[in-house]
Amino acid sequence: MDLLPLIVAVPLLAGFVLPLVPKRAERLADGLALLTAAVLAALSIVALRMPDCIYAIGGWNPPIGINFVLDGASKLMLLVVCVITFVITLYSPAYMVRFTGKRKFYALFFLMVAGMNGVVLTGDMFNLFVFIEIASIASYALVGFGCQKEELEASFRYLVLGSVASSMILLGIALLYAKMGTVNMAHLSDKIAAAGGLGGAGPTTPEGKASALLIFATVLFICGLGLKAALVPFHAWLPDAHPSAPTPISAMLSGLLIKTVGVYALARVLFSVIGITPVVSNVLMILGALSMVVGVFVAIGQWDFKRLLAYHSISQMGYIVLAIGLATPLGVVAGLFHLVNHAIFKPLLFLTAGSVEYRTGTRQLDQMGGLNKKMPVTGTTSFIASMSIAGVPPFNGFFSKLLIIIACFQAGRYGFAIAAVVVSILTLASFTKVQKYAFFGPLKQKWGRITEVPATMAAAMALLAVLCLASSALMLKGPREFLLGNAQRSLTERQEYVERVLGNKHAGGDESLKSF
Amino acid sequence: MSLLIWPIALPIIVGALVFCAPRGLAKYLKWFSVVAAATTFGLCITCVAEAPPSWTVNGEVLLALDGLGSLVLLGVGFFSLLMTLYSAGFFKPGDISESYYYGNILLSVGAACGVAVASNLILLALFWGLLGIPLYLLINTGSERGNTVAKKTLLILGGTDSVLLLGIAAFFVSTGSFDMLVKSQVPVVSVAAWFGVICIIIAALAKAGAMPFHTWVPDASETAPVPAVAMLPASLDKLLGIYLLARVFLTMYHIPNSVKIACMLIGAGTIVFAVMAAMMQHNLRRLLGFHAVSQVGYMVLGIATGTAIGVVGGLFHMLNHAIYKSCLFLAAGAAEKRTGETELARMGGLAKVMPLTFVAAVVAAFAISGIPPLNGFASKWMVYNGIIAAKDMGFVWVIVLVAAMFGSALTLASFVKVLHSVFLGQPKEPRQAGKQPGILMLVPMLVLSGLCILLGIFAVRLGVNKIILPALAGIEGIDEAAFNQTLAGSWGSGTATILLIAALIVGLIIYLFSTFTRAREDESYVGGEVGTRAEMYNFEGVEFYKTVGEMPLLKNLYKQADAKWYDLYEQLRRTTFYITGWLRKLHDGVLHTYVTWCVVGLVVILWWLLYSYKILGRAF
Amino acid sequence: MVYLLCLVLFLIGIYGVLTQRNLIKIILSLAVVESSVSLFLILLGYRVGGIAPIETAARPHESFIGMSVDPLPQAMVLTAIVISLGVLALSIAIAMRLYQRYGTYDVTQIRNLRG
Repeated sequence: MDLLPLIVAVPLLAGFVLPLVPKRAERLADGLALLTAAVLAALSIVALRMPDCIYAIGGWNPPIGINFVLDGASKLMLLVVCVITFVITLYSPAYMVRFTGKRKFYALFFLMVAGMNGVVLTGDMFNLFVFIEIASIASYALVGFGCQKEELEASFRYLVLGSVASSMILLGIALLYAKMGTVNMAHLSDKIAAAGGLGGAGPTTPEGKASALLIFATVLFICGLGLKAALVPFHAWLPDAHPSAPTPISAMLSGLLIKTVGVYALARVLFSVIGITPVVSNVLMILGALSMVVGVFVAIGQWDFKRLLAYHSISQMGYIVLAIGLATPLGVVAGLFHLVNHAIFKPLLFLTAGSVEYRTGTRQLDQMGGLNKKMPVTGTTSFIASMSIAGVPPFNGFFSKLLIIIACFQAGRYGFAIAAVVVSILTLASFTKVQKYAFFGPLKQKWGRITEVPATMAAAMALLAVLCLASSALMLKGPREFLLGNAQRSLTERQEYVERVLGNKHAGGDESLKSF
Repeated sequence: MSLLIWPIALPIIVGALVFCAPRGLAKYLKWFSVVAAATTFGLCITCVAEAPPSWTVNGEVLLALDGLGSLVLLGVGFFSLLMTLYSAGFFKPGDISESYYYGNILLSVGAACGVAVASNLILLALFWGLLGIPLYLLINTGSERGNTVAKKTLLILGGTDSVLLLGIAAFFVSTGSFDMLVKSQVPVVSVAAWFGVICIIIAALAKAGAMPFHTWVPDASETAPVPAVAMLPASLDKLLGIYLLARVFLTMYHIPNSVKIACMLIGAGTIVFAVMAAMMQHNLRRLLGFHAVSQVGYMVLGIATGTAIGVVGGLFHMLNHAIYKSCLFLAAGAAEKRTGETELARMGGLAKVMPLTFVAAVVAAFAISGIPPLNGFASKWMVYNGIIAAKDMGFVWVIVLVAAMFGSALTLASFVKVLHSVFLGQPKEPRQAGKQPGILMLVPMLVLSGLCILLGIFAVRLGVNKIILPALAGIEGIDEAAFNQTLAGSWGSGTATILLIAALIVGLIIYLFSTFTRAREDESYVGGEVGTRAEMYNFEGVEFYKTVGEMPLLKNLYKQADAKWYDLYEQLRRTTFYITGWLRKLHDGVLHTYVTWCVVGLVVILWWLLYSYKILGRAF
Repeated sequence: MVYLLCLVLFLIGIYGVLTQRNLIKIILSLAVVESSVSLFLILLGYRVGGIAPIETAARPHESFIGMSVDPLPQAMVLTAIVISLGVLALSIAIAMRLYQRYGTYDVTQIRNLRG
């Protein structure tokens, strides 16, 4: 239980210490970074085995103080964030030698990780906003890290849209505070439930006004967090920002950031705090389906390897939001499963794209060709990741897509199931294109002398490729129940969340706090 | 752990080992793989003979073996063994990367066995899709063309796999279980059931290579290594595709007549259009590929009739087709190895130099053309009978029957062309003679052609009674009695065979008499001068059929086919890129556009929520 | 009233982001948006004639609660201001670099990435 603040504090500390390492000792910085990431991964695994609990910061018990909540969903997200961070940190040192200021990179990198872990753990709306901003600001800076023309352009666009989204989120929180007088998630949830939720049938809605404001707040959250999650039509920053960042950051952004500050935060707010209703569920599903379709259609026409991957991130986020938006137990499980899988194969794809760029210096698919012969590890891992994202068995994407389709069917949403299948086919089309132009076929003459990437980079990719296969095991009943089932319950069982945080006293009648 | 796991696990594990094998071991890999394939076949036989209990985890049946599964499992094991054997003789060291090739072959064997013994639909889909990966890798062996074709193949197979997932989800919603061996016979009345039937049938048709999902078959046949073609598109994929189709029709769903009619029409269309395309091909492998499509039509047709004899005929044809088509591909491979050519126009006269291959090819070609007493005739005949027995479905049966028979005639026509261009006629300019097919290549060919004859002569006694009917044991309405009932009067196997053999003998006698009269051989003259033999007698088989392509109605059809009008893949590709171009234009890189989207999105969602909660007009 | 005021301010800011071409003006519009939210939070906790939310021994707890303004929004606004300051600084830095690279502050000219 006392471990929870460490999960945020360790990367935060690393973020401040690493730039202080003298420039000569860059190896030390690499080592420290890897150590930090390893500690984080270990912490997340330890957290996985802990019982659900809360940690009241500064000893102020909820609903007064800020508190961290460890439940199924946050355990799952922590595990994903920390393990993938570790792998990407393994990849970074060799890759980042091309950039000056590696230590600044680490500082921003771990700041972002701290922000994400905070988002996952926090039980307080305003704290959620703060952590989202920590992660976002770090990512704005990281996108523009190379300081080239396009990178700055992407960074600025991302920053403007991201700030608008942040303002929306903050306005939403302010509205909730205005009506409910608290920013503690569990407390808010309790009060909103007491007020009748979004439907507005509760006692505190004499003329429907409170309900209208609540709806406005909900919409602000959907749009603000939807922008962070890059859902169409709030997606436009992503295909610029993700490819422009240095590759490890592309992987972090696409693999983790849009999921934690986007989907996870959205799910937390909508499920645990406001309470999902059929209308909101429809909105989510349509946003998800729209993202799925638009993302894949634009992706298929791309020739820039990383930009193609970025559009696919939009599309895959669509799958996740569609499934979670179903709001059935199976739907949420499927969505979380796909979230885990996407957090594995998308970073892998970005890393392979980065490896190709590292050796050939280009990101244009039509410039490559036959690279399998020269870069077997990159080629093989990229093939595995491509098959995973396209949903070809026996890799993980197949199982989560299957679950999503079954969940859609179970909920009677045939149209969405068809959309999911069509998008899956187009995803396959687009990744066979990647494989065809980049890795298979005859080797171009100019690449005759390239070699495989350094061992640490190759190891990181191989690790993720193994995870692509291993995470298929989440389809089996035991692991599925343990990781995904618990996560799903912690999201959809709203009352349990409230009781976990506030205890069984049922804080709804706690008048002393209402006095303001 | 059940015994059923081993036919799947063994080849996959060995395949993985072969993949990782160090370069030094490369020359032993083929023997290693042959042993592995033989062991797998042995395991398949053991599984079928011992009928082991199904493999159950947490109360869910994952692997189980019933009659139909046994048939397919045996077929998979058998063909895999033969093709691996042939591969061992076919490739010289250095032709291919052994670990890559044999690894993929063994992986596909394991996956195919998996499909045959899977009882759980998710597991089936797993192996089903897994089968696409080795095929993709086998086609993709470095050339530009192979690269393109591999992409297309994986896209069609993987795409229809996704459709299969939809079908599985629908089946699950209909029945509440993933077990497909349970005779659920879901009535097709609900939306979910319709989804299930259509989607699973699409997946089955695509795997088997029926129209309109066929385009990968000719392309893959043209580019992949010959043994791999003979193994995957020509035999294993057919077995599995038709297997799933049979499951849908026989156990999973209670198929309504409309679906049956649609499938019959698809089958008939496949037969005719594919064979017409085949006739015009000038590449041997591509031609065989189109025939592989065309023949699927008969299987689909037979099964879609739903009558006892039709289903038996369809399944029997599946088996027969795998036999003769892989034999033809193997013969083509031998010819290709000898001449280094796949273009019909540049081959010829090989009968003299490779007589055994010629014999095998002739037998298989006659079998595919449906000439008695070979197996192709027997199963086609049953399919025709099945069509006639399905009279209650309206007049469709007439169209379908005519199409099927017409297709059979065209098949014969196009194989006359093949035999002429490849084996008969004058040898073309002597190019460096490749290797004669060794014993390893000949044995599979001869075994397969022997089977063509055996299963032809003893079609009912051996093929139907001992192989197909036991496989269909337990399926209502299909047993020996029903089979004989529909067959009685139209064809008794014994008399027909005797009559045919008698006819053959008569033909032989006539031929012998005609050769008694001696003809004088002399130089031929053109305008009083001696014509050179090569110019005079070098008729290319390809030319024979050019006239067909010139016919007024067909001309346009062929021209459009060349322009890929009928290629579903191409059409979808064009549509997709149209939409893509349009959407890309919208992302114009101006910040204001993007902010506008966000604001519009916010307003729309807000309006929608307020509207849904009926607040619009109350508070605002 | 408070709601309306802040909403109008918020919309003015968004309008600025939507219409201004100059990078700096866009950044200023963003600042307006952020300020509007901060203002909203402050005004939420404000009460006319309230006292500073510092509890002293001189004033009994009950009457203190009755008189003081709400301290929580103030704490939140303080944090929000720090965050928006960070964003502002970063955005101006990026804008300057952009000017160096592209030679213009016009955002519609800065569109190498599209499609």
